[in-house]
Amino acid sequence: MAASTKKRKKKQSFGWKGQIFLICLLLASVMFASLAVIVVVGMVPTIVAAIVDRSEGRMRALTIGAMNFAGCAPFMLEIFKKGNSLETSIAYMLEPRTIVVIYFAAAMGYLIDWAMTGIVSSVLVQKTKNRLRDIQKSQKELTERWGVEVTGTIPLDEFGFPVESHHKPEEA
Amino acid sequence: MSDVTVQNEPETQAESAPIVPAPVAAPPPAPVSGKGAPLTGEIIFNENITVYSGNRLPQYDKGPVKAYTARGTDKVSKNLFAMVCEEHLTPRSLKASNYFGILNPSLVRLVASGVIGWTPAGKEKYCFIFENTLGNALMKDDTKGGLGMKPDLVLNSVIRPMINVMMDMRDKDIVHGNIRVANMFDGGSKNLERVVLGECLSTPVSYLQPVLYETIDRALCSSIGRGPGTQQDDLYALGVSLAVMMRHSDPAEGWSDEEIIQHKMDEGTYSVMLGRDRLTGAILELMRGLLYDDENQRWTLDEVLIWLDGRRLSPKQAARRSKASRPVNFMGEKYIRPEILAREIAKNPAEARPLIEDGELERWLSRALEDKVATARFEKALKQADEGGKGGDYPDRLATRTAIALHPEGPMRYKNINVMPEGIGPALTEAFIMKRDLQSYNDFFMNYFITQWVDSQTGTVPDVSNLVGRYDGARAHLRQKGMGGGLEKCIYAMNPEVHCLSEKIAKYHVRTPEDLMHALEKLSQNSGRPTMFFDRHIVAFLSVKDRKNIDPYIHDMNAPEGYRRILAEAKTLATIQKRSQMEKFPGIAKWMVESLAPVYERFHDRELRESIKKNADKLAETGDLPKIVLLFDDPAVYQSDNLEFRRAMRRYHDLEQETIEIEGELRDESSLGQETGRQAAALVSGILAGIIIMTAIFSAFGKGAVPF
Repeated sequence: MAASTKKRKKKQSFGWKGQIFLICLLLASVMFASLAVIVVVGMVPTIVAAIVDRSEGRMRALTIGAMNFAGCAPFMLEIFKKGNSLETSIAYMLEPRTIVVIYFAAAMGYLIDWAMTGIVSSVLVQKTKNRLRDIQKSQKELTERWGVEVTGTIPLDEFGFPVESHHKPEEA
Repeated sequence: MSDVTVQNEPETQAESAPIVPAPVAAPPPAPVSGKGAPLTGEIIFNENITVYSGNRLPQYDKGPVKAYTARGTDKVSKNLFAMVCEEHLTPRSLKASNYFGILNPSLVRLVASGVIGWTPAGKEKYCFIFENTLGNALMKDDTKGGLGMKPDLVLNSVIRPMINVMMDMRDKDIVHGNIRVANMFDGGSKNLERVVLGECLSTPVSYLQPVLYETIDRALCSSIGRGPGTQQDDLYALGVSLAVMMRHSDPAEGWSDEEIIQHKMDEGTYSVMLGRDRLTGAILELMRGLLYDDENQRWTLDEVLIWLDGRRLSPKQAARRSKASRPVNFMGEKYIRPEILAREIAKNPAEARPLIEDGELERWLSRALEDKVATARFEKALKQADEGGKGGDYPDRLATRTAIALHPEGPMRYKNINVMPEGIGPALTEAFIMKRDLQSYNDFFMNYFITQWVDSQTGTVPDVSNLVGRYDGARAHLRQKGMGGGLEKCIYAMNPEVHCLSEKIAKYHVRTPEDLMHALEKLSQNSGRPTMFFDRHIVAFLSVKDRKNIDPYIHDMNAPEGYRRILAEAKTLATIQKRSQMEKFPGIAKWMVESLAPVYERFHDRELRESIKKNADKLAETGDLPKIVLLFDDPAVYQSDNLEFRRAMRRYHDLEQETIEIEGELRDESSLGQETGRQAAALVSGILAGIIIMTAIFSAFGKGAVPF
């Protein structure tokens, strides 16, 4: 119940922010139509990644998006420099070099995500395993110093000694 | 009735303990030493006396207590003999110091006393060393016949010296208890100038006295249970001895002990002893005075002294024992004297029950004996016997109480027990050592016959409150089932002279807590020593000898936890060492430290255990027991250890939780770090993108911009 309420709130908050963003985006697209064409066509890998990405915070899409945008940026600057016309923009987009560069940048984003995830994951696994070994060592030391009763796995008397140790010494 | 709790099992482990100092291999069976016989089997006693276990002196034997030749060196007299005491006959060791003070040529002189390592028996024994000035005994068998000595000779050679001895003994608060002709010696002279009285310390009072030499009431007791007696009993024995010396014939020849008692009651001791022998003059007066059967009529020592001064004493009226006008039938016999009937009833409780319950005995008491006091005593005894119910040992209780009512001055008789109240201690000791039935002693104390006995006395009972108090204490001890109670404690409480009867130290004659320390030190050298120091006997013994040494720890000694018992023992030993300011005991200390394993286990911290163990091992070499105990006596150490242990437990628990979490994460190893990896990738990618964009901007708008 609480989870669904939170989800609804999230959707609502995204709703009005998104609406403002969309309006701004629409206005910007109209004002910079030539650049918008580059962005729309060039950022397709990011859009696909954002749809496919199920990770929390959609970090993969962010990684790809950043590199993808970096791939778009030089062309957008060129178009801007050349008068920011729609024709120039379309001309650029029709050149295979433009698409190759932009999509290569997006692919680099994918590569970074794959490599970093793998490296960080293996480092963390190793670290965790080391920690487990340390814990086992500490537990062994505790058992050696305080006896098996420190584990709390055997019944103890009020003084913390195993109950069965209350034996009468042999009458010799 | 409660069960007897007596530790009476032999302990094989302690058996192989090395026996005390001394010397030389055990000799073969001791030959009788004659003059010039070689001295063999020497055993050193007190450094300057040598006892020869191979050279017996049977003429000085006291029943089972044997006499041996001894020789002194330095300032000690050369011609000595040793009386080596038997365990079951408690020697009168507490009276030895008083006896030392008597310097009378007519009494054998005590030179030394103490514990000797008696190699022939392989154990320590108590022994008395006397100066051998005895010569030959006046008679070997002093229960038959007579010596026919002239009264004048007896007066000068026997009466005067003996009265002198008795005065000395009175001054030293000693009852001899063994005055008889066979214990009187000629001192080595042929003309009998002066008799020498033999010793009296090696056996309980009156243990060796024949019935003839005992008063009627004491003669009815078992020989071990006659109690400490009084000087009046000694005077009676002297009177009997004089009669045997002076008479020419024995009127009691062939009589059994029971017949002697019967005749003493019927005719009086004087007639039984002297019969047709006619004494005349002053000596007759003395003999009558000494042989009165009624203790209150009997001459005292002062009266004898007056007689010796030549003054005449007015004769006393002899009180006759009550006698019934008609007999009562019991088991086919006719009885007219309540004392004799009491003895028979006590012997045959089952057969006596109908006689008592049918009212026949009461009728006989009131009509034939016409003794209202005795009848009242009997009625009260019946009520008291009924108090415990009519099951179980009711006939025995009934018989005992009836016997006390019929013969209040006589002994308390219950089953196989036949003692004067003060004689119960030696009797119980003997029964324990000889492994006799002890349940009857348990019942004897629990039935509390003592109050009836005390209430029934016509005369005054000396120190009655102390006597009753001791019996009260015995009952309390019997109710206490654990260590420090039971019949063991009754033994030591009722017989203060007895040594410790523990099987653990059976080879040692331990009479004091200090002796115990020395015995344990010797025992500690033995590899087969027991694990624990104490048993029921040692605890009871220490509790009676000096309760401050052990009573604070008795509760722990009975605890089910071994470490508490071990620590309690250690504390007791340390207390004895400290309170008695004794020397160091490295043997005991080592033994103690070795047995402390369960005590170390009471520390959680293994490092602390090791550290304390190291300290204890170090201290063991010094033999300082209080210092060892101090290691375990600081509550702060236990508290701190416990606190640290609790912390360690919490830490262990936290680590356990962490392990569970980590193991959960590692279960899906492939997903571990994915999130972080993506974040890192986004960061790297963002930075890279930023660099590319900035580079593009600078390339596009900077000087010399290069077209893309």
